[in-house]
Amino acid sequence: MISENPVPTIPKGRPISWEDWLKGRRARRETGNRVAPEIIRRASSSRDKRLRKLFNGERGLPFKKTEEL
Amino acid sequence: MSKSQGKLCDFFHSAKALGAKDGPRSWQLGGLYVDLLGSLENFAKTPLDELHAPYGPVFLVSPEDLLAERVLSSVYPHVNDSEAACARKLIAVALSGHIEMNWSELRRLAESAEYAIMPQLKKLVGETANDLGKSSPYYS
Repeated sequence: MISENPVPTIPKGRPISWEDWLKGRRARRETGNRVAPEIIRRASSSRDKRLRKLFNGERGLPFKKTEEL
Repeated sequence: MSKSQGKLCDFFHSAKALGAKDGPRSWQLGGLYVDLLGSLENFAKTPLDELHAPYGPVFLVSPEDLLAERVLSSVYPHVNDSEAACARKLIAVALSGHIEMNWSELRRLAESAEYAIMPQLKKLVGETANDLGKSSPYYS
């Protein structure tokens, strides 16, 4: 049977391969962006000083652009 | 020294050998923070998701637990829009079939005394389903 959804589903009860995980990243990102702002990282927290020191002034690693996923 | 303490010491030695800094709970390793936590606190009866990553298996907390926790964080201890946005994203991904979600198990968690967030969950799932033009699993 040919699946209607070409994006690999993260299954329950069995592993997903690394390749399938990567294939679904863009779709998962785009779907999420349809219902909420793209970046929802907290603007600040009690860990700010430590995080900004580690991540060049940001609070975490840079987000990969959706078109690069 | 107990068996678990021995394993912890082994980890500390390995972490130091790899150049990890800080510790003993939070480590900086390869540009990332690695937090050592205690036993996994999960309530879902569904299994952990498993990713076969290049360097070995990675186990992920089940989406039912993640979503119940995020919905709770969106209203407790105070209303938090960022947490609600995060919950919406996970709901959208599940409704779109990109991740298997056991909606019955999620309902059980949401109705449990530990979470008690079924009204909020139902609302968020309904709104997100509406945004996507899909039907909510909690409305028949």
